Parts: sequence; structure tokens; C-alpha cells
Amino acid sequence: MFKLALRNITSKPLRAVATVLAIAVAVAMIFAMLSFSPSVYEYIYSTQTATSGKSDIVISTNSSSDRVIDSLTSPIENLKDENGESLIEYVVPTLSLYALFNGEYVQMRGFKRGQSEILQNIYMNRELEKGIDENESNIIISKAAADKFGLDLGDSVMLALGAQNATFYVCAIAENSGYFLDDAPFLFIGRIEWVSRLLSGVSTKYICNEIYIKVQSGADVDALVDKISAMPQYSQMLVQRTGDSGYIKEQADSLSAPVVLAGAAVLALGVAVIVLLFMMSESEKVSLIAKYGIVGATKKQILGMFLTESVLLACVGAVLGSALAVGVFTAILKLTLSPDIVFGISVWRLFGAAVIGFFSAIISSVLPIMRAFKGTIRQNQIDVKPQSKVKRILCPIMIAITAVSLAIEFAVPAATAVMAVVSLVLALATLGVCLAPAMRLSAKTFEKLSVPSAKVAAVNMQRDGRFARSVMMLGVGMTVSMMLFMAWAMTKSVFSDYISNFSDMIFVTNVQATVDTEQFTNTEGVTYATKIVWKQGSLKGVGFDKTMNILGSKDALDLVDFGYVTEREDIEKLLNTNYSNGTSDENLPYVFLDKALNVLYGVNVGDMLTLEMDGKTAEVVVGGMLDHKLFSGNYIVVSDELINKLFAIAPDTVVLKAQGDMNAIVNGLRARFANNNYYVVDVLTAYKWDMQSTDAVFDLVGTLAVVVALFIFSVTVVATMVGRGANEKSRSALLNAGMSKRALLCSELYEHGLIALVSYVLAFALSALLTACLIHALRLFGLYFGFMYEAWVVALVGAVMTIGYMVVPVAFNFKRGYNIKKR
Amino acid sequence: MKNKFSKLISAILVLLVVTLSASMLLACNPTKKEEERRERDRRARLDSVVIVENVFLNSVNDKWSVDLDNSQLIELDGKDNFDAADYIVALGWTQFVGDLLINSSLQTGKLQALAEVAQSEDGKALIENFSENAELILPLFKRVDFTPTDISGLVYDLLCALASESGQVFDGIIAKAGEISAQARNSPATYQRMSVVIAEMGDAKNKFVPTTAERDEMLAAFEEAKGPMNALVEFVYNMSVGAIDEDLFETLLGGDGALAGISNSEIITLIGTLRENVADLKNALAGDAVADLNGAFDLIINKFDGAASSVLYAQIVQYAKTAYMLVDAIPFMCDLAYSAGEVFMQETLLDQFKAGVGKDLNEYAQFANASIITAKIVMKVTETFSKDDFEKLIADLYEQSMGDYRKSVPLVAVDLMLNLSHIIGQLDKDDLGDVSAVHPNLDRDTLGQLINTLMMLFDNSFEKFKAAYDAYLIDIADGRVDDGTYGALRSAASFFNSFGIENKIDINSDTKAWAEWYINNAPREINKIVDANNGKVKDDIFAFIGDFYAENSEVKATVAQLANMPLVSDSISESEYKQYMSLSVNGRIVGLISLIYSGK
Repeated sequence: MFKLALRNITSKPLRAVATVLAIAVAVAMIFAMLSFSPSVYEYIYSTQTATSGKSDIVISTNSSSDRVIDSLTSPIENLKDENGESLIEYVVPTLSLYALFNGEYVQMRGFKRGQSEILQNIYMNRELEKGIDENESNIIISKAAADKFGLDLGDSVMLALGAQNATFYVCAIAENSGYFLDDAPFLFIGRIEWVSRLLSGVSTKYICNEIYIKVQSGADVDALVDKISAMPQYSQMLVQRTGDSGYIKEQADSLSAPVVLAGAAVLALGVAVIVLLFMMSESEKVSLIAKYGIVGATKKQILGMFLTESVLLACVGAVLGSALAVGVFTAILKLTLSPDIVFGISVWRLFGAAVIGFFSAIISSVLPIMRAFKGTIRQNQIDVKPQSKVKRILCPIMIAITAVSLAIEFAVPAATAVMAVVSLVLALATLGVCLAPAMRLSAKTFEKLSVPSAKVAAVNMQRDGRFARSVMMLGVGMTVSMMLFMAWAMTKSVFSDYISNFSDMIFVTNVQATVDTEQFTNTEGVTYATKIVWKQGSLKGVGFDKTMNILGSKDALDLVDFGYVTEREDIEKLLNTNYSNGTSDENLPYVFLDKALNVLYGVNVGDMLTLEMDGKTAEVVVGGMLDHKLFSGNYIVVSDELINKLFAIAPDTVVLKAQGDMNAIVNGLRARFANNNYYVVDVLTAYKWDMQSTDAVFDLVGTLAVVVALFIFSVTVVATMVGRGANEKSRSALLNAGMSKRALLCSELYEHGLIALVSYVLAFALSALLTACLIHALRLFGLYFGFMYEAWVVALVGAVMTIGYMVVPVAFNFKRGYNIKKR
Repeated sequence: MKNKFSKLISAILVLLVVTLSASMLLACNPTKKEEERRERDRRARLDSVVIVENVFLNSVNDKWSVDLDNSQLIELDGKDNFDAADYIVALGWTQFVGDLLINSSLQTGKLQALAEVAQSEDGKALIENFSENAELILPLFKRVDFTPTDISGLVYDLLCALASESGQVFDGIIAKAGEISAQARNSPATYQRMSVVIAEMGDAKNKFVPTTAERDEMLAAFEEAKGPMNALVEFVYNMSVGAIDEDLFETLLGGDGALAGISNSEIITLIGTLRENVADLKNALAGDAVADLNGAFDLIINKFDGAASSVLYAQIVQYAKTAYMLVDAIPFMCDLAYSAGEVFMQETLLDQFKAGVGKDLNEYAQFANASIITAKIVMKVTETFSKDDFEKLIADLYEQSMGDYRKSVPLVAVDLMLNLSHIIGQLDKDDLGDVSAVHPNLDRDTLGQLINTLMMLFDNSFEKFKAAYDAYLIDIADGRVDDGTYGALRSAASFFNSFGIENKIDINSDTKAWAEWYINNAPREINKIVDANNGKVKDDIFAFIGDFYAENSEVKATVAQLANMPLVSDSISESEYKQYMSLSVNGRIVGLISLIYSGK
């Protein structure tokens, strides 16, 4: 039986290879979609925790605290639980300063001797024999920094900070990973002893401005944060958790949400592709079963033989698919996100993808056998199957159900998000069901043409089931591809557009709360300066707990061009409430939110919410609603005075507005305030790193969209070829009947053209609806956006796939396979 | 089909070969680049060190440089103060240090910076005065931005090299002198000078180059003492670069840099971190570290003392001697300094400091502030340490000083410091006055001998006498002894007289026996005198401690009065100054004031 199965496989090598490849591709597609979201999380986690590494808690300075602390960490190291067990695994103090090198900002970060690789591993690209542990003036720089400044091993780097300067020597050039994932401004890693010289000219290893703490596993991090905050030496400092995994997850989910939704469709399509592929050779198999039946094979033997064949193909396909998945997906991640992050490959997801592919193949292979067992040998020999009644009414039923679902989605706001997913699935299923009838209908119209080859094509398409499967595969595949590209365009638009609002803004950080803003407005080009608390906080209400970007300034409305759901005058009035005597019934703690929170969670003006900043919580009242894409709607406008009253947080940033050449203005400010260790940077550059990160995710989404579209297209073509392989007899018959090879080729071109056009028209028509569903479904991920639709993206993707499928007969030189003698 | 297939396989094979070759080329490229970088680095190190060597040689004689060949030396010898013999000795040692620099772990950039600084006018001036004042090397190091690790590494490497490679330097000089002699048959003077060099270097080699056993012993001792020695060198260098002094306060309060507008608490943090360097040093000197250091210093002094042929030896020995004299007391000094540092961590004092920053105070005001801060330090330290602590320290120092006059320095210095107030009080008079009135345990002669002891040790009187005797021997060999030679010998031996050491041999009858008597017997005689004095010194200090810690102590009350005074922020008059001086003298802290502010 095994030999017979093997002979079946080897007798049709093209079909076997195509089947294996299709399974492999489907497995890879499924794996890529299952792994997309975790990979984005991994990437964002790596970049967000580049500085803090494996630590759990960071103690840092803030605008109202001392700028330096001693690095005598024994009080922290001695923290013990009630059993006298140490709660702390290690403590790493660092001293980070912004200094000027060749007129450009760099971040100099000093570690104690022997501690530089505790938080993160540093992967050296090239290094000298003596590193930073051997000499305090040695530094490690990234490859990117070496390229940017033209530095090589052994080169000296003189950094200046105010009147102080110190010379460092490059002892190693590291890969752009670990700490160097956050390399903007360029990061130089050295020893505290020598970095401290930039502070006062004196070398001391016991000074720092950040302390990173790794707690013992199982210890309560929040309790430790409270404990450390209560220590007198850190009571004025900012003590907080590092790598807020909740926030990182929110960010990763936001970025990957559109693709996750589209990915579900890709996953379904992957399974469908395998099923349809096996269905392509259904007629041939049914006929073969009939022959085995004639020679006396039992049902058990036939089932065993076909199952053996399927298991062999599915096994090879699943294994190949797994290899392909790991290789291709890892390559895409490295190419698009970062070549320097080691992405973990989940064995379970890989196993899951392989299992889905394997069982889909096995189950699909059983379907023709089941059908053959139902029919008589004669029916099987001539491959006649009675038309199912359900099929005839399935199309209108599906359209009706989908319409109902859409109606609920649009009419009932509370159900919009959930029904959007249902509608998405139903719309795709309806498309799958309706594509074949639509194609037959088109073929019927086509039949009326006087061109013989067109007529032949039209008749074939109505008779042969393989065309129905091809149009289904191409149509659904095309729609899914369009959705992926749409998701890409949407993500890019949503997550980067608002940055352009900041093009005329400059940040001055590392300032004390008492800084005088007038000194900035006296600088040429600077038109406006305001102190602001620009940091993150957590907003809690009924059904949500979101990390928000706080714009803590009474002047915040002048900084961004907001839309106003509540009248601007009303918001301004409340924003300027005097909180000098604290909050009261007359002076409520007002915050102003984006309307997204109203749409997503029903937050209304007057609602009371809980705001958490730096570990402290306070009740706040929604004073008004704004409308802006800023931070995807995750922002809070609030008075700096209120922030100070509620959380004892003073402004830590000065935001400037400038007119003219931003580079020149920024450089002018740097030169003027170089002595103050102010970090002056235009906002676009400050967000460069975030933009690069999100751009990397966009690139990943785009690349995945291209790759998946190519996979879908390739599988569709392969499936078509497999299905076509079973019809060689009928082509020979047509040639024997006097049809020329050219006319036969034209006929096949008509077939492909019609399939492609029907798919394109229906997919394009449905794409707007699917996009609306996709946008609505994103609310499940806490994302609210207005409808956006890039018609050209959809049209282009469809057109490319359509043309590609139309030219397949020419591209694969079908004509060469036409052979009149074959019978 | 078959044909097509084989073509395909051939194409794939060709592609594979091309890809592999390209990969290999790409893979080889970084190695080649790395080799090129190393070669550039090697060349840069060599070039930089040659520049430094040339600057150094040039500072001795403007015609000296590393690349003079033998014929040039013979030609230049004897003209315009050019002494080929001096040159080849200097060249030998210069290149010894040069090689040390090349092979050190110093970054190439630092060697280049050193070359740059050495070539500058300031650098040249520093190097020119190096042989007279080795302390000038510190500003040079600071300008190059040498780190404490660089300095400790260099010191350690230098000691090891002196122990294991100095023989090669002597051999090199002798060989060079031999070559020049061979070529200088027509230049009798040069030939003569080279002969002297060969003889002197041969002697020096026999005397100062360690034998294999000595070398091994020294290297083992250095290895043993490496940790504490590095800690000590790094601390000294670090403190010389950035100590808690007025400069630091002026920098911090200057309103510039990352700590612009520095707060009192930030200053306190910074001072606290500097104070920790002191604690570090104490930790590094725990356990057997002091004994290890004593062992290493002792070997250096015993082996290299008197190596007159090299400034390098002399300086190393000098530093080793100073360290040897003080090392026992360092741990307690660390404790004292740590405690004293706390004085600068008081907000009221910082506010007073701030008030005076940027003002050009006259000397009287500066003294007033110095006396107030010193008084605060004394009060702080005496609050932290009990009478027993101090008495134990003094007893320990006394114990260590017995039998080795060199070790008496801390004890004598402490006593003199306490007595300086009395000496200051007697300045207008011709002599030290009635010492016993204030110090019942001391008399005028003892006080004089204490001063002599310190002067002898810090002025290197004994070494100078040995050097004078070596010069006498050379003059004898050269046949050029005159009255000046004897005069120099007598002058160098005068410090023995101040100790009352009597040499029964007459200098004129047998000069060698006279000098060697001193060399062989004077240490023993000095030890006897110093041992006898140390008992009195100990009692004197004990008396002071007892007095200070006594109930209703007048001295302590005076110091407290001074300590409670605010710093002056404007210049003061002479009469006001006298008040501060009077309190300082009565509080017996004048010696301390001068010790704390000796670096200013």
C-alpha cells in the first residue's frame, strides 16, 4: 500500500511538488500571522528596555530633585523580607550626561567597573584587548556612532560639558543591540569615574543619577518601589518600575492590531488554500478510486492508500513549511525590525502552524474519497456529481446574513466592535461562496461572444469545478491581500501622521523646574516657550486602564492644533483654573481627553476618572473633549499647576516653538546653553527613535503584506496548475477535434482573464466595506479612528494580482504542453 | 532535457563558487583592515614616544636627540657643553622609559597626547625642570588626562622593569660606550670619557642590578603589594587632580556646567562621594596590605638607594622612602580624613563658602578662614575619635618607630605640628625659648633634634652625603680632588653634627675611612638618638591629648571658639588677623593649619 501511495506521488511529480509547496507556504503563512504580534511586542520591549535592560526598578532624578546622588547602594542591597532573605538580586548605578562631541550631542553613560554588562549584554563588533573595565577613560560606542563620527578603535573622543571636558578612548565598537538599540542621541558607554569628570572636573566613582535594581524573583516589585521611595536618600527621587510591560503591550497591540485582524483572515485562507488544493485534483482521484474499485480494492485499502499518500505529502509539506516559516519570518523580522535583536521563535506556534497545515491536508484529502464512496463506480468513472440544492441558495443566504450583521454593526454602537469581526468573517465567507456563481454568470455572458476560443473557455468554466475553486482562491486571496495592504497604509497613517504637528517644536529637557523660560525666547528664531510636564501616566475608568501621554501645561492648547468637541473657550477657562489652594468643589481637578475615549469607553464630560503618575493616584474630572490623532488619541491635556498639586511633579521640559531653519535654531540654542547640560532637541528628532521603531513595524507589516500576497498568488497559481494537470485529456480532445494550439492558448487566457477579473471586481467592491469593518474591529484593541480608505492601494494590489494571474498561461508557456498524441 | 539539466547544475556550481569566493574575500577584508589598523597603531605609539624622548633629551642639552649616531657623538663631544658620556647614559634610561611607555597599556591616543603636550612650550618647561623637581610630572600627566589607573599601571610596570630589565640598560650603555671608544681612537678625551662610563656603569650594574634571586624576590613582593600599591598611587594621583579644596568649591559654585546653580545637598553628595575615595584607600590597606607595602618599599630602598647614575632611580627611591615613612599611619589618617570630610558637608558652612566665592580675599582673611576650617576639622575629629583612639595610634606609631629612625616621621611630625604653635609664638625671639613651659616633656635641644630629624629625612641629607662621597670617589679616580671636593663633603656631613654624632676619624687623614664611618655607623647612631627622643615625643603628645580631652580644657575651648566663628567673606585687617592667629596659637592648631593648607 505504501509502495502504491509512493507510486501515485511519483507518477505526478509536478502535482506532488506543488501540493507539498502549497502546504509549506500555507504553514509559513499561518506561522507568520500567529507570530506577528509577539514579535512586535518583543521588538518594542527590546527597544523600550534598551536602557534599563533586565532591571525591575529604576531610581532617577527629576526636575525638582538633586541632579546627582551617591552610588552607595548598600541600603538597597540590604533590603530583606520578613525571613531575612535578600529581596535584591543586584543594583547597578549609572551616571548619564549629555555632552558635546564635535558640536553634536552624545549621551555619555558611565557604569561602575565590572557592571556594564549586568543590565544588557554588549555584543562587540570589534574591540581592543583592554576594555572599559581595564581603564576608566575607555568607552564603547555603537557601529552606527562609529560610522557617523568616523571613529575607529583607539581613537580619542573629547567630550565637553560646560567648562569641563574629558578625553575618552574608543576601546570597542559594539553591534547596535542591547543598550545601543536606544542610540539617539548616540550613546557612549564608559566608567562613572571618568564620566564624573564632566560634572565638576573631579573623578569619583561614587556618584550617579540613575540606579537600576533587579529584584529577586518572586519579590513584590511594587512593594519594593514603595519601600525605596520611603528611604530618606531617595524620597525626592523618581522611583518607578522599569520596562512597564503593560504599556509596552498596549503599544505593541496598537501597532499590530490591524495586522492581527487581517492575519485571522490570512490564517483562514491558509487552511482554505490547502483544502482547495486537494479539491483541485478531486475529479482525478474519484476516477482513480473507481478504477481501484473495478480491480477489487476494498474501501479500507483505498482509504489507507490515499491516507498514506496524504500523510506523506502533508508531513513533507509541514516540515518544509516549518523550515520556511522560521527562515523567512526571521529574515523578514531582521530585515524590517532590527538585525540586532534576537527574536525568539516559539516552538509551540511553529508546532501549531505545522499541525494546522498537516491536519487540513489530511482532512482535505479524505473529502474526494468520501465523495467517491458515496457514488457508484460508473458515476465515479464519468465524474458526475449531483448538484447540491444547498449550494444554489447558499449565496443569497450568506448575503442576507452578512447584510444583517453589517446593519447591526453600523446601527448599534455598543456592538460595533464585536459585530465588525463577525461581519468581516461573514463578508469574506460570502465572497468565497459568491465568487463561483458570479464567475459562472460571467461565463454565461461570455459564451455569447462569437470568438470560438472564448466560447470554449466559457463552456469549460461553467462545467468544470476546478475553475470555481480557482476563482474562490484568487478572489478571497486577493481580498485578504488588499486588507493587509490596507492595514499597512492605515497603520502608517494613524501612527505617524500626528508627528508632523511637531515640526516647529523644540524640546529643552534636563531642566530644573525653576528654569526661566524667557532666556529661551530671547534666542533668535524662538517665538514661544512654555514649561510643561511631558510624561506618561495611567488613566483608569470603567472598563479601561490606559497609558496616556500627559501634556501638563496651561498652554497645551497653543502647542497642538486640536479639534474641539467641547468649545475651546470652555476648555481654556477650566484649564486655567487656579489650583494654588488645591482642589475643591469649585476648583475641580479637570483633565481634557480625546473623543476616542468617549467612543471606545463611553467617557463623557463630567465623569470622574483615576489618574496615576509616578506611583501616586488622584481622582480627576473630565472637563472637555478634544479631537486629534495625537498619540492615537491617548493623550491628556491638563494644567501643570494641577499636576504639581496632585502628584508633586514639577515641569521637567520646556517646549519651544520656532520659526525658520530648525537646525540652525537648535544649534544656536545648544551653543547658548551648552554650559547648562540642557538637552536641546527638535521634537521630530526627539521622536526619531519612536518613529524609527514604528516605521520598522510598518516595514514589517508592509513586507508581510507583500510576502503573504506573493504566497497567496503563488499558491493560487500552483493550485490552478495542479487542477489543470488533471484536465490534460480534455485539452488533447480539443486539439484532436481540430482546435489550433493558438486557439487553445487563447481559450486558457480567456479562462484566466475571466477568473481574475471577476475576483478583482468583487474584491475591490468589497474592500471598502471590509476596511470599515477592520477599523470598527480595531476598537476591540482600544483604538478608535475615523473611516479611512486608500482606494489606490487596494486598486493597485488587485490590479497587480489580476494581471499576474491573467498572464499565467503565457508565462508558464502552456502552449508547449499541448500534445495531440496524448490520450 | 538532460543537457539542460547539466547546464543548470553547471550554472549552480559556478554561482556557488563565485558566492563562496566573494564571501571569503569579504571575510578576509576585516582581518586585513584590522592588521592595517594595528600597524598604524604600532607606528603611532613609536612616533609619539620618540617625540617625548627627544623633548626630554633636548631639555638637558639642545643638541641631544635619540638619533645621533656614534660618529656624530664623537664629533660633538666636548664642544658647547656636549658630553657624549652623559648623553649615552641619559639615552639609555630615556629609551628604557620610552620602551616602557610603548609596551604599556596606555592607549595610543594618550601617548599621542603626551607627545603633543611634551612638544608644547609649557610641556617643555615642565620636562626641563623634571630632574630638579619631579613633582612637575603631575601637571604634565594632568594635561595629558592620564587616569589614576594609567599612573598606577605605569608605576607598577616601571618597578617591575627596574627589577627585571635594568641590567639590560646598563649593558646597553656599556656596549654603546664600547662602540664609541672603538671609533674614538683619534679623540682621546672622548675615549677617556667612554672608559669612565664603562667603568662606572659596570660598577653601578654590579651594585644596583638585582641578581636573579633578588629580582624574583622583588617581583614577588611587587605582585604581593600590587593591590595596595595601586590603590595608594591612584589615591595620591586622584587627590592631586581633585581634592576637596577651594578650587573644587569655586568650580562647583561657578554657575557653569551640568551642576550649574548647584544646591547645598548636591555639593554634600559630591563631597560625600570624594570622601569615599578615602574609605576605599583604607579598605585597600586592610589586612596584610601595609606589611606587603613595607616589604616592597624596603626592597626598593635597599636595592636602589644611591643609584646616582639615574634620576629615575633617585625619584623612585625618594617616593618609596616617603611612602615607607608614612605607610603605617595611612589607615588611621584615612579615618581622620574621612571624619574631617564631614565638616564640608554642613549646609551652614557651604552657605558661608558661597558668600566668599569669587571675592579676592587678602592673606589675613584667607588665614582666618583656614584657621576656622581647621578648628572645625579638629572639633569634628575629636568628636569622632576618643582619647583612647588617639593614644593607641600614638603608641602604635611609637612602637613602629623604635629601631628605624625613618619610621619616626609620623610621630615626630605629629609632635612638631602640635609644637608649631609654640615655635610660631617664639618667632620674634632668637631661639625656641622655654619649650618646657608649654611642653613639660620636651626641652629645647630635643625640639631642635626633632626638627633636624624631619629635615634630614625630607631633605635627603643622608643620600646627599652618600652622593657627595660618590662624587669624591670619582674625583679621586679622575685625579681632580681639590678643596671644593672636601668642602662639599664637610657640608654634606654637617647634619651629623647637629645630631651630635662624633666621628673620631679626621677627614684630612683618611677621607674614605671618615666617610665610610658615617655611612656604616650614622644610621645606628641616629637610631639611638631618635629612639631616645621618641619616648619624649610620645609623652608630649600624650600630654597634649590628655589636656585636650580633659574636662574644661582651655585648648579645646579655644579651638571650639574658633570653630564656631563664621567664615569671613571679605578681606580683614591685620589687627583682626592677629585675633585669629592668637586663637590658633593658643588652640595649638597652627601646625595643622599649615599641614592642611600646605598644598595651597
